[in-house]
Order: sequence, then structure tokens, then C-alpha cells
Amino acid sequence: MGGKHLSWESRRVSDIADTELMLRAGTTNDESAFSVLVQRYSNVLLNFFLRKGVSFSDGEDLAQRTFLRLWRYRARYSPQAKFTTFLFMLANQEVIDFFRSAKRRKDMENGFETEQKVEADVVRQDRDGVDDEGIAVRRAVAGLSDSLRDVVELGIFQELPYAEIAEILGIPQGTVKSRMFNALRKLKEVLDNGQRH
Amino acid sequence: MDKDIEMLDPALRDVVARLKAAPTAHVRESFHADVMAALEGRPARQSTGAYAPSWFYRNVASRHAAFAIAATIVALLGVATLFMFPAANPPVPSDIADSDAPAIELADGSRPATSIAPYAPSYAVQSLVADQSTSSETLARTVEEIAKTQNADGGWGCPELTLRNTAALAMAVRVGDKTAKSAWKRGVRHLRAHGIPEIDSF
Repeated sequence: MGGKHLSWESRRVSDIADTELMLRAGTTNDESAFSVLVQRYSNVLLNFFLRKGVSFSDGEDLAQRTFLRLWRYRARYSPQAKFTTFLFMLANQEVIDFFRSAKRRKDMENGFETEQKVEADVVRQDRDGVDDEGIAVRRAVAGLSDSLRDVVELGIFQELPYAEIAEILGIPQGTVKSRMFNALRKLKEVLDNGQRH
Repeated sequence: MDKDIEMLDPALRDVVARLKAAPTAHVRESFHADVMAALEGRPARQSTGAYAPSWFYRNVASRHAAFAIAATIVALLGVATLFMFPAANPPVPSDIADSDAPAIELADGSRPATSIAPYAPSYAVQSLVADQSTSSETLARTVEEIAKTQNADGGWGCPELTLRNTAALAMAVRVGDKTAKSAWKRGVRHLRAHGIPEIDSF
């Protein structure tokens, strides 16, 4: 911080750290601070959910619900915890609730409705300019087991170091390494196969 | 993380690069506004899937269901109360009161086949209760006429007679006749134990 404290108004929004924004939202109910967080993490959360295997529209619903949950729990946020850790913890709870829904689980097992939505997403993504590579990667990651996917999500997409991943998931650092190795090997296999087809 | 990735096999490093370079999806343009609107309590965008309950369910159906359940409970309690406390002045059945009452005893001393004699005390109680000038002793004597014919099981050997006598005793209890109370309670117990007779048994 350099010892010099700049006022909220005098700084550019992009310079303000997530933690400070969240604290401001939590202590003074500042919706403008929260609004910045929503703008920063909307796409991050959407892609997080898409890599979990949900459809685009469900991904947006889950992202919205996560932000609403974040707003409800804003007073519980402690600056000792990294903001993204807090956010993804809430996001994970949302997606767990989502998959617990019996109808959704049935849909996932049957694959019928889900496939329809995936196809609709493909059309939408094409329209929005996201090419097949993005969809192929998303599908490949969604196909991993939960334990492998969590490591890839935190390590590759959120760019957290092994030590922090180990702390978040509550597993030894060596396990993180081996899971990452296995996950990447499987992803290589899936993506290479997809390329050949 | 980059330092960790550098330690990986080159082939796997390529996979990491490919994952990171893959295009990502973007939320709709209105997403941010929807979230902020939802914070302020304004209606947010509705789910397109079956995951989120619809506005209709959250605001209308669930409240109506709660109201319907409450109304059903109140109605059931009301029906139960009717059996416990019969109306103050139930109408005398017209078929018996109007046509048969004068024929309790015919001019030659005989009784018609459809006599109201078994019901006479209960009709008498109804009439006396309705008349405010009736003395409590007169009412008590009439109540005793009913009570002394009551069987040990609380009934009067006939579903219809049991109903009429119990109803008459309830009316007497309501106006403060203490002699009717125990007979009325036993009559109610009998009705509870045996149920209300089907209409065909009358």
C-alpha cells in the first residue's frame, strides 16, 4: 500500500483490490463497491460453472445466485481470507445445491434435456463468436472427476499455486501435484482425440 | 502457478497453454443490471430451467397453498365442533312434528304405527329450553325422563333416538341444567365410539 492511503473517490476503480471492495460492501452496504465485483467476476463465475458441466443458461442463473448469496453473506467476509477463495466457496455451494436437485440429476443422467441445452449453447456460442475450441475445452474439463476438476479449476483457470490449492482443498501438496498430472494427462488424451475426429 | 507448471512434462505444458488460451463464454449484456436489480429487491431475471422456482410459485401458488391448508383445518375444526355442540334450537323434523305429533294417541286410545313417543322427552326438552319462562325444576324433570332410559353404554338402543336425546341434553346443558351433563357426556362418548349412523339406518 506504500503507507499512503488514497480515498475511495480519488482512485480508479480498477486499482481497488477485491478485498477492499468486499469489505466496503460488507461494512457500509456499498452497492457501488459490490457492483465492481459483479463486473469483475461475472464471466469468471460463468466459466467456472460451465466447466462443471452445466448449460449456459443454468450457468448464468448460478452466477447470479452466487452474487446474491455473496451479498447476503457480505458481513461474514473476513479480510484474512482471500476474496476469490470466499467467492468460489459460495459458488461451489451453489453448484452443489444445483446438482442435488433431483430433477437436474435425472436430466444429467439421461442426458436428453442437457444435450438439447448444450446444442443450444453451441449455437449461441457460435453466434457470440466463441469457437469450437472453447466448447471442446469446457466439455473436456467437465468430463473429469470432481477431485481432478477442482485441481484444474484452481490451478489452471484461477492460477493459484499448489500450496494454496492444497490449503483450500485440505489435501497434501503432493496430492495436488499428482492430481494435476493425472488431470492434464486425461485432458490431453480427450483433446487430442477430439482433434483427430 | 507458473513456476509449478514449468516443472511439468513439455507435452502437458502444451495442454495447460491450450486450456488457458481457449475462448471463454461471456454473460449477457443485461447480466450486471439484473444482479444489481435483484439486490435492491426488484424482480430479477427468471431462471429458464426448472431449477429455480417460478415467480408464480414463489408469490402466488405457495401462498395459496398455505391458505388452502389453513382453510381446510379451520373447516374440519368447524365440522367437529358441530358434533360436539349441536345448534341451540335444531328444527323439529317436520314429517314427525307436523303430522304425527297430534296422533300420539288416537280417539279410541290406540297408538299409530309411527309413534313419536320415544322422542317425546327430547322434543319436550327442546320446547322447554326455548321457553324462557320454564322453571329449572320442570326442565330437570324432563331431562331425567331421558337420562333414566339411557343404557349403560351411553346410548338409547337406537341410533336416531341416541342422536335426538343427546342433542336435547346438549341444549339443556347449554342453558345450565346440571342434571343433563353426565348423561350428555355419556351420549357423546357413545356417538364417538359408534360413529354417526348412516342415513339409511334411520
